[in-house]
Amino acid sequence: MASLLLFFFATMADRTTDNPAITTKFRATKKRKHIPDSSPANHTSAPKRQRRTPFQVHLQQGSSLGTRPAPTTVSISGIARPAPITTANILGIARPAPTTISILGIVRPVPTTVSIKAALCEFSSLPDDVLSYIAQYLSFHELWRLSQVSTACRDVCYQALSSLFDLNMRCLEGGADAVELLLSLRGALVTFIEKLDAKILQIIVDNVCGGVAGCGSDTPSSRFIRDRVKITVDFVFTFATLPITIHRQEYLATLLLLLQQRCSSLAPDACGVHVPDLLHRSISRFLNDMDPRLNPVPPPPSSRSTRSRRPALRPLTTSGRLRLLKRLESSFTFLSHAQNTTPSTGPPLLATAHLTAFTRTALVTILRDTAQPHVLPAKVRILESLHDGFRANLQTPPAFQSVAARRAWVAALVCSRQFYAFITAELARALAAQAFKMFELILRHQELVRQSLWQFPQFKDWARIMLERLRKQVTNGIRTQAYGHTELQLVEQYRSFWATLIDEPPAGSNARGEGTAGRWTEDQMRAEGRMLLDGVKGYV
Amino acid sequence: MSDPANITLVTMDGTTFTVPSAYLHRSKLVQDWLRSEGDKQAMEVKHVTPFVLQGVLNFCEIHAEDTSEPLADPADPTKPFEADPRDDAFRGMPDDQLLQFTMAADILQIPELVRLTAQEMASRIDGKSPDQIRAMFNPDDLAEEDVDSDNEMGEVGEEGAISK
Repeated sequence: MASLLLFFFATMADRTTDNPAITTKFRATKKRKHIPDSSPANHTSAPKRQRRTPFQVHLQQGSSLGTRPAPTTVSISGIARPAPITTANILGIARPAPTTISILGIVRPVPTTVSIKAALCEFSSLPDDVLSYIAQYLSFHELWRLSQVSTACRDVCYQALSSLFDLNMRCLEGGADAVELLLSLRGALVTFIEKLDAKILQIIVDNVCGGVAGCGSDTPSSRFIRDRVKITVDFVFTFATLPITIHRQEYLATLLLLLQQRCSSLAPDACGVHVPDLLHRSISRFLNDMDPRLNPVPPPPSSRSTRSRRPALRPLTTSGRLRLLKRLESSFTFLSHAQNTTPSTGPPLLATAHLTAFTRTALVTILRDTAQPHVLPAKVRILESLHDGFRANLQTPPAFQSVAARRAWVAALVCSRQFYAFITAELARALAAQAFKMFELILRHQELVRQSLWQFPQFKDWARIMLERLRKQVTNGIRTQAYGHTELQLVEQYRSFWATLIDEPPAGSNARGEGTAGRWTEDQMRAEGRMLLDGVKGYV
Repeated sequence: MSDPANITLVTMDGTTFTVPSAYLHRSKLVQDWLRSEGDKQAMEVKHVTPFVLQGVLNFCEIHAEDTSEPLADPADPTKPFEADPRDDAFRGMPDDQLLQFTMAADILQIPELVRLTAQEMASRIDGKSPDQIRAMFNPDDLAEEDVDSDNEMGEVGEEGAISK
């Protein structure tokens, strides 16, 4: 317990400094989750679903529409229009209860069905083509979620996924019908996510490189390889960041390596394709697509219209953004580690992926988002992993085969300096703000601090050192005006808090702290310390 | 023979709406009916309630004088969706009404309205969990054989943990 507290307070004392090395304090513990068994074999025996009728309407009394006042008149022809219909009418904005409908000047009573009954539609009543229209406006993540809503949605979403990502993966072999295709596709998706193995990887790589499926050509053409690389990068990155139970980022790196090995045997000069360059562009495009999800500031309308034909995606909620950051963090951490373990003479593909991620403005945008201090640990970890990988790249420059790839690498070098400058400044600001919050937190645990000081001598020695630091901090703060008045007051309060406790033994002890009357037990210390650390979790 | 300048629509409960034919020039169903059975008195729109039809007709009235070429297909990739401020009121309707408008637009085959409602439904689905979507749109349940472990309820463990 003592070492735990010592570590914590030591962390606190360093938090107001600008030392980037402090980032190591935020490393999270990796926890492996239980993986439920959901083999696709369990799904392939599903009976074929009967096709729904194209349209169903359910009458239900007392629906929300039944209580809505109908418009006072219905007159659309322009011949007799006492009160033209407006959208406000339609949407039920409050107005007097209707009495008559005037159609072409002929006054009629209001139809009773408008006022007491209305058709209540169900989502599943929508025809498949309408569902597919809806699906075309959804991202991969939303399609994946929608596929878990209902059976009808699942069919439509898988079809949309199939066409969006060209996920045929040999599902069409043997002339499978639509249901089998869906089941196979679903099985492939689930397999890829939860039981990914070398066989599936092999199939994907075959599809990318071998022209086995989808293309119909035995000789891979330039366009074919370009398309396949783009699709595969979208596919693997999307899965790597998908909100699912487990993430297998290691397969991302494995797949990239396999791709590199296969493509290197395809005589790139012959077909005019350089796979690392393709990957660079594909990963950039993927991160571009991520940007509107992560960036709370919407892009200007002009750039939005030119980026994609799809409407701009809404930014994620705070918790959604945090989850996506964690997934990205996990992916890039693995890429960085994989880069570090790749021999310097090996393929430059991972280096390309890593450098691309590093230099992407989207990632910088994520890290620049200072409005959300709770994402700071994720930012710090991304920074650390990128730093590790990038340092390895600096030591062993990858053997790029094209001028464009080398330019990207050089650009990354330049970008890195700006990147570190800004992230260091941001960390200093954010850490200082957090430090002030934690000062307040510790001030509320006065007795715990007192007990720690008087029960553990090494803790008191450290506190004296910290007090000296705080004294200098206050002096310098006044001289340089680095802090505002409130912050300066808080630092001074924090300093005097420690100074007082060092001199005041617990109640029931003598001046040297001897005596057990006021001494907390180990359990008390542990319980109170746990409460303090729980509070700290809100800040780190 | 009906008035060629106007068209009469009859809803599921027999309510009739007479509107200028020009309002419905984007409705393929109406245009087909006018070509094949235009000599009849009224066109039946059996599955649409008067309330919803009013809304659809209002949309048609708003866009009656649009000079743009009618869409052949709501999913036409060559004509990207652009939000029209005149349609903002349609975006604020409750979920159940939005569903009915979507169905009515599909029945009357008005691609512009289908696209508007589909886009609005997609935006409402965006960011929602499966349970929230179920609560919004009351879909059928997943068939038992379709239920697997890929729901995202157990997506992220404790805060700070890296799932890997």
